[in-house]
Amino acid sequence: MLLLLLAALLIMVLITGLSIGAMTIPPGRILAALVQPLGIDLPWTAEAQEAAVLLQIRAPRVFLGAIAGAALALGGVLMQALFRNPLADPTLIGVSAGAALAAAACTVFAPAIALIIPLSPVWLVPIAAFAGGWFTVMLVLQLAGGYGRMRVEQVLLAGIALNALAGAGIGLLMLIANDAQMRDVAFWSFGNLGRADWHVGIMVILLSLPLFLFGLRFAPWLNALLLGEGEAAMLGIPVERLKRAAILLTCLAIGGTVAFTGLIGFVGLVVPHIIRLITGPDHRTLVPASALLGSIVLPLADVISRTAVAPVELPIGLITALIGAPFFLVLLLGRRNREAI
Amino acid sequence: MIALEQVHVVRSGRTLVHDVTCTPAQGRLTVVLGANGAGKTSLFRLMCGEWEPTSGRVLWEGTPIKNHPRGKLSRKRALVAQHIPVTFPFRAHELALLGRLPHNRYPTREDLEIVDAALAEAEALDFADRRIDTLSGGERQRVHMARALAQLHEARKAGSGILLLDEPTAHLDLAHQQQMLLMARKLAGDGLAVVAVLHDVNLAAAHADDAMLIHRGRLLASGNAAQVLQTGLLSTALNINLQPVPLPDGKRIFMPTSDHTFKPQGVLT
Repeated sequence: MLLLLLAALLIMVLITGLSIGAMTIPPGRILAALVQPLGIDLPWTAEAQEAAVLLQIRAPRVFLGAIAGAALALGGVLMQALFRNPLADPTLIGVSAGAALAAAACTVFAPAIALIIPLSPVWLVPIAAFAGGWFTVMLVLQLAGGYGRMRVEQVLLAGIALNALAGAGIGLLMLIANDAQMRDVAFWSFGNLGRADWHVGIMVILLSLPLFLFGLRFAPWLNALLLGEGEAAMLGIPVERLKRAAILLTCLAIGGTVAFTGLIGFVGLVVPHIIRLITGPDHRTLVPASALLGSIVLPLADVISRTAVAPVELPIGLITALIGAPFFLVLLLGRRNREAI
Repeated sequence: MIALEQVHVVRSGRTLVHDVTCTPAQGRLTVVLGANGAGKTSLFRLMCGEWEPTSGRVLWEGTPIKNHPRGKLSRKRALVAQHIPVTFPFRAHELALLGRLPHNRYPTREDLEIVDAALAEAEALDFADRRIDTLSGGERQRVHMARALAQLHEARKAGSGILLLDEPTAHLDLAHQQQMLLMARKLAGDGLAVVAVLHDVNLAAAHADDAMLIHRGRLLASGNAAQVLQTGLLSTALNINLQPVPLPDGKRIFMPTSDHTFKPQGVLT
């Protein structure tokens, strides 16, 4: 029921995202623009300019927003299960910042890197972002005392320290960057879907899909992990393999997302919480529902960021916080009141 | 089923388990007694496969336990740990359902029936729909017991498996302590090897078939509970002078003497 409701909401948000902008396009014409290339005639007709705006600018952006939102939310779900910590999300524990720092470094030092690694920046940046995210998770695990002895406060303190370090690193890179590079680095620092095109969208979906499939397939095992690693092992779960795969795929998805959308906080932290407050911690529901809600929240935030003070575009991270935080607080308050009765 | 053969465990330069050989018997309730830090938890970690021995062998049905697939073992071996995190609180029924995970990744109708029966047997059905973090320590313990019962449902039917209980009476009131140990006895009666770490020597004496006394990482004594739970051995194992107090029905309980002196206990080095 919840999944159906979220799916319906997602469709509404996607249509809204496609419809609203500098040029408003009614839903009928959106449909027409999407199906006209397939030779299907509808009662509505999209003008060439509308079709161009939709197919080349707006649709890739909405598509990227939905995929990135799902990836960020799932990254939160997986990290929280792995650390058994409701505050562990890729942003808070430094994974996103590590990925952003690596992506920014890759951009600033692109000419030098190109001499060593003959790869296009299109590939190099997401690979660097993945490596940066993975390295940060490993560092957090080590600083927090290693697997099995992980302490919640250590995880958070390590995350805070690594976030600060990555922030300082990005600041330093901005000092030595040229104008074009500085724009790129600033892009990662604040989050933006403005670089969306179909190639980017497809790349992010390719990098995020394994995480989604993993979350769905191993949801019951993630449930067992919440009991503690010892208990999970006694239930027959190959705990070490599960954790390694979860970290790898989360870094892949978050690294890929950060490489193309920049740092968008809050989604990974709050979306899983909202779903948990509604349905409980069962990952069989939590994984698909969080992916759906994440893919609702981000395109919605993007619509607001594009239109709130148009033609100026607000950072999308600011909008996700403004939407999510009050909603989250209301849910928390409601739960507290229910428990007090 | 599970056997420890001349097992040593050394961690961070400290010997935690020293030359322990034991085989908890099928169809019997074996209690493990010892002072804090004596090595009881280390023994459990070995039996759970969480730790590998530094030397010696842990065997399952006669062959090294590490050679057995974890999934297969989990259908015959269950643990009710002392501390289980409730950071993300499941409902009691969902939690008990996790016991069916070794059998089916997604629960079948039969799994649901088994879990309902397990919750009823552990007297946890009344709060099956409540979140675990809203339950008392004793209620939580019963839910985890129900999970273990659901996990070992088939093993119990086959009369072959092992249930490890780490201080199962820790959060329970007197009535539920009795009930928990009666249930443990019943499970042993169904053919399981039930191994329980206890701190209450009188509960142990009242319910155990067999007993293992652990002292400074060594197995001080093991065997039939009536023979092992003797005043002198218990006093040594628990670092306290005990005296037997006869009861009108001919049984006896153990009480600390008034002149007891506490002897701090370390691990072997």
